[in-house]
Amino acid sequence: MHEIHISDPAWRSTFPPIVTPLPNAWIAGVLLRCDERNFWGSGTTLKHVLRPGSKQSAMNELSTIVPTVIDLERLAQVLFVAVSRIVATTYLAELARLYGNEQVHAKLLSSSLTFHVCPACIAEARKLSRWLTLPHIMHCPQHRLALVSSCSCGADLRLFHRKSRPFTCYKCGLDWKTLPHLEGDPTQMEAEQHLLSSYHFFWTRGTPELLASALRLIYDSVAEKREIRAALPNTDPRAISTERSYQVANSLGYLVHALWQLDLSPRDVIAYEGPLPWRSVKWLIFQCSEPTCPYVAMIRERRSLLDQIAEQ
Amino acid sequence: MTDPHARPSFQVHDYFRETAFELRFQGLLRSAWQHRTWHVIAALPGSGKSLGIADFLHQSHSSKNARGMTHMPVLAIRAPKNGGKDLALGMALSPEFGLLPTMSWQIRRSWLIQAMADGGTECIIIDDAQDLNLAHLAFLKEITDNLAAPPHTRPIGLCLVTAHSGKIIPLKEVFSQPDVLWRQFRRRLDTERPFCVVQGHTEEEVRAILIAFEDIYRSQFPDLQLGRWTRPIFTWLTHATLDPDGSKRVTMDHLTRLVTRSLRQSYEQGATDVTIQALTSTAELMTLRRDEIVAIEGLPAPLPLSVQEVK
Repeated sequence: MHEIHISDPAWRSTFPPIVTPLPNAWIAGVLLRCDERNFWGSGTTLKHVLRPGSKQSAMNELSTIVPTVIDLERLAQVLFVAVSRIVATTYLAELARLYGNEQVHAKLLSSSLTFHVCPACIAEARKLSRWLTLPHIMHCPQHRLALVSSCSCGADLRLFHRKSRPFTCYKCGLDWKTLPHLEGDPTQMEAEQHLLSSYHFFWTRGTPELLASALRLIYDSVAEKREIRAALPNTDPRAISTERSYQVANSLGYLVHALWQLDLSPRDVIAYEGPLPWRSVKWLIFQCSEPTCPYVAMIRERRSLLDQIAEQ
Repeated sequence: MTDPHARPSFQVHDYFRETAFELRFQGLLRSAWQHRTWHVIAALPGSGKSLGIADFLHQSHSSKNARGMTHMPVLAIRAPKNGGKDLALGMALSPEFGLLPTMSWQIRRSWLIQAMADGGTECIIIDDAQDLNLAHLAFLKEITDNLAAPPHTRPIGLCLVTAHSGKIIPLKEVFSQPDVLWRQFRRRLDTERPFCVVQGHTEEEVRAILIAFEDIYRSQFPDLQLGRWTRPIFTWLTHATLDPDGSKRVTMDHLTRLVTRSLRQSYEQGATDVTIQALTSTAELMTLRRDEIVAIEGLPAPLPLSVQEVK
């Protein structure tokens, strides 16, 4: 982004100092950084970009994950950045593509939100990463520290509180950067690495078909192991997309966790996608003497996809 | 002479010109900025103060960047009209930094100090400062005092730019009052040049401007020689009607009006140089017939209809 000169009309339509989203930042962190840079109280920027009729308190709840209460175009305008950069601070685009529906809801990702932070990320760059909203992630993959959800004074951390400074405890005023830096449990972090890989897979390649395939795979795997741990819903994600129970049971958080529990990886999901005959056979060693066999061509295509995933 | 109907309509060039007045005026602003001095700067109405301030601000390299840095060394506003208290001045100053969310005056008041310190503000210019009242001036002193004190330790230059007439300089009397506040304000004014009057243009300076006009309008008047009319133009524009204080100086507003009206009239007659008739009739309009009441009777010419081809 170029500089804004005082003669540029954008001077008066942008905040005094403007902040730009950091790579992989979460929108809530962008709002707080803007508050802090402008010497405003926590939630001042949020209040300015709330959609009419929306409540500021919604941003301390699930709405932070899918910020439907925020006017993203307005936020982009006051920060002088492209709307796409603001959208990239949410999982809106990814969820819409994965569920094949522009009207996404936070419950498609998670049924609840535990707000927690990595004190080291705050100390380094006043950054709240987007992955903080992902269910079952309890450690910072960069700093390998346990995420902290409550202050040393005992109060739960709150994203926005009108009487506090940004990035501080609303009760005692402690800066979140000084919260305890606790080493993470290696076993737990390894498991979370698998979960993050699965999330990344669905964010980058997710489509309703892939989602359906993943659900079928989970269902078949559970049936095969004869250990039904959870009821599995309809596999057509668009059929009943407005029902709340569907959103909870089909939430990506639930799905990713189930894949991990069943020891299934993104490779397995890819392999399972589509109407292919090797669903219940060792498809990787499938051979056919017919030189124009369509299944051999499909296998080749699938292997190439798997190689791409392995490289990422 | 050329056929007036064959020419495009006359085009006025009204962009900023760095005249002798502007050099003097901006020189004073620049000095206040560099040395963080305080001045009351007066000039006749129509001299070009507001344009000069706008150009000065443009040159001040104020900018915002993506790294969250805002640099605003010069803060220029027009004094709030219709009185009001400190809030009115605060509401005029704060939007100069950009868009602000709604906030209480108490918060905005302290925010303003922080924003000025953060933006590196070094000079405040207030245009039409004759409209400032006591509450505004007290707030100005509060802002500048807060910035000068720790933790900011940032002395600020202040230019109160006023329009004046005659020998009276606005604000001079206010600052002469015995109240402590005004004595403090007076003490902050520059030692050498606390109250300044920036003079208009001399005859030689008028000549230089007329020659500059020749270049500006050369495309519409290939034979334009305005410079040769310097003497009569200077005489007309220092007529008692336009120069009631007898300063023998010409304001840019008067000079521009005389030239553009004369050029338009000459152009519409198909001339390639300004005619003495056009200059004389414009000068008469501006001086002898200045207060003449014009009766508006007929209807204006119908607006040309734009015809578009429908495909």
